Amino acid sequence: MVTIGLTPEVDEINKRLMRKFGFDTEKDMALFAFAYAIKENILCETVTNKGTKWGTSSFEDIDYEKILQICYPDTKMDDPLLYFVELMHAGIRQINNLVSREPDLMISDLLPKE
Amino acid sequence: MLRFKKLVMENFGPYKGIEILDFPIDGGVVIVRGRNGRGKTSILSALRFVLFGYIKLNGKKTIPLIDYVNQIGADDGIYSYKVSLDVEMDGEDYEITRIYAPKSGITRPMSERDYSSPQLSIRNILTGEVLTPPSSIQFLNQIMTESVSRFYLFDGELLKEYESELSESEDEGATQIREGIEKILGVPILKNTKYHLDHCYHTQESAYRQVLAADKTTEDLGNARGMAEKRRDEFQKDIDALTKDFQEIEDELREKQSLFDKFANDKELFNEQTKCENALNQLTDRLKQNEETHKSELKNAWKGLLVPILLQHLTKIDLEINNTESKLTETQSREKVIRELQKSIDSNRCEFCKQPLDSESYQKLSALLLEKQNEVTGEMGEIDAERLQHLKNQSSYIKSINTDGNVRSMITSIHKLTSEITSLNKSIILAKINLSEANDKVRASSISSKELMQISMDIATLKSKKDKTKKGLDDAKIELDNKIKILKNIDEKLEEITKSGDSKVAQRRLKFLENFKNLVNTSISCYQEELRKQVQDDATKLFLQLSSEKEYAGLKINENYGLDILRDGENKIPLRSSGYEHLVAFSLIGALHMNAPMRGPLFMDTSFGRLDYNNSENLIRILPDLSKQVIILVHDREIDEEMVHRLIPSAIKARYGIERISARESHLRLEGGK
Repeated sequence: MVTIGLTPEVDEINKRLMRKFGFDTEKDMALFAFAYAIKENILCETVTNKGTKWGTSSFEDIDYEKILQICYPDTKMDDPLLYFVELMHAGIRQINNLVSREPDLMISDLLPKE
Repeated sequence: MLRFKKLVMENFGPYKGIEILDFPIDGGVVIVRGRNGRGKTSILSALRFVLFGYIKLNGKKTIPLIDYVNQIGADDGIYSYKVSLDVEMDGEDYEITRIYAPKSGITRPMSERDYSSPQLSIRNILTGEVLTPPSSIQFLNQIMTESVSRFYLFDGELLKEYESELSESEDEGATQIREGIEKILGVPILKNTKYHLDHCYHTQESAYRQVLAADKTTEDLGNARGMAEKRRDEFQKDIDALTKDFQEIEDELREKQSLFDKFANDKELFNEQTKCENALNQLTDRLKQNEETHKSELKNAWKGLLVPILLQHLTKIDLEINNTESKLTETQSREKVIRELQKSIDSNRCEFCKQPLDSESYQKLSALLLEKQNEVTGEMGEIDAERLQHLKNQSSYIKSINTDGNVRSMITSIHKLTSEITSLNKSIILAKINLSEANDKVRASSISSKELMQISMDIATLKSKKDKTKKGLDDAKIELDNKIKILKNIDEKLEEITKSGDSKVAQRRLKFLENFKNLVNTSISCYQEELRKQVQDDATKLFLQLSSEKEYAGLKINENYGLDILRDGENKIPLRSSGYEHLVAFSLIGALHMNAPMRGPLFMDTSFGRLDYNNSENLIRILPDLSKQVIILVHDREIDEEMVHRLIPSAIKARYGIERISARESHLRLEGGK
């Protein structure tokens, strides 16, 4: 089974962010961070797997490959799964930076306004 | 005759250190004047404390004794207080002292639990003899019990309260007040006479029985009488026991009720604590529900970020799909033309007009074929069917994750829930603060919620017990009446057969005692009736002096010593103003003091508040007649001192003023005496 994961440092941040914003699972938080990275148009130069936290079957409800193809049509991706993981890391770090600057930041502040 | 001689308060209420209120030896009227909050009612409270060991305001609400610790003294570490009252009782002087102090070992008391019960001591001032605890209680009961104190030490609220209680004939409070009034008027002495006569009657019955047994003609009836007496006595014993039980239950009930009332404030604290707990629980439950929904919505929050981006891509993707598909259609139609041209050239026959091709037409078609072939491979380019499918897959994926605007409603829901959760968290912080404050107050209270609940349950049990005892008592009374009837029948028969001798003498004696008993019973009723009439007449006299309303003709008394105002003859005034309620109450109190075998001092706190100028003037005029010793506690605007001196110049024996030292401290100052 193919597995993916986060580095210990990012994993800790992800857990903290999960509790702060009220996500149910770490996976929900990591998915949100992945989406946030895309929204912020983050590009990853090198991609590597960081751990073995989740089996890829955990992400059945998201077609990350298709999303990556749509959002990064000009980027050549040898391994979309690794790119997916890399964007999760980037998103988690980015959100953590925001929280460091604004500790009262809420999930609503990260979502589009109504 | 009871007379107050001196009241000494030490660290009591607003009085720091020792404050002395001396009452002139020749009685009369003493005025104590002070503004609101200075300590007039505290003087009355000090009297209640020294006489009863507890303090009730307005007759009902018991105030925690700790509330009377002087605050300035407490700041200096003095947490106890003491009140002494010197009284003259039937020519002898006594000093009654009560001390309220923390339990040993407690240096900083926080609640009543940290205090010992008030310590009472009574000393004969002349002989120095200190009364034993039982004698002290007996002495206090002799001079003034709590039930009669309302007629000696009263304030405006008490006046109003007991006037309304007296009008409710079935009310428990009315019964207590009636008993209190009868105690003042000396009815219990007569009732004791009745009990002694009952004893004499029984002794004579025993003698009669012996005489009847000695005579053969009366022996059988004598035995029957003996049996009937026994049965009657058994029922009488039951009735006595049940009456005693009933009274004990009533006393216990009153005590529990008083205790319950005493902790009414604590009950409020417990209710407040429960209210705070419930509010916090409700908020916590709502927060939990919202958080669960929030978590569930956040599972798709990533869509909220990606869908707007994906929708932008969708426009491009769909455009590319459309262009590619148009190009494909165009290419397909051109390829058809090429196929037809190729076919015509190959068969040397035009596929369109079905005519054989000549050399020129052949040349032209060959050139056209080449041109079309060049167009398809050049201008139209190559169509990538795989990419088209790929684009179509992307398009349908984007559409699948944003069906019917579900992402938009999810975002709206997350915004709403986040805002509600923030607001609930703030409310929970406030609710926790409120609960913590309520818990602190409950911790400082002198009773636990469990103990108060127990008192409440005891009251319910006692009420049920009281109802059952009352039913048993009523049944036993019916049975007793039956037994008395049987005895009467036997006595009638005995009267017929007894002609002379010892039996006749014993019979006559018994008859005499029975008649005497009936006479005393009737006398008690008559005396009560007479007393009521006397009280009514005296109260009417006082009321007519007090009232400035010419149409009011007098007062009419009821079974409970309640008084109705009569307009003329028998017509009662249905509604009375608060001022007139007070005048009626004053009239009754005055009349009771006039008719009581034991007369005592009268303390009146802020009793002029509801009276108009004329009625105040009238009340001042009769003050010296109400009692030999009258002490009035008034505020500056309640009565006009000039008016008092004009109306009763010789009756005023002393004037005290209560001076303000600070908001928490007052001082008594003698301003003048006669």
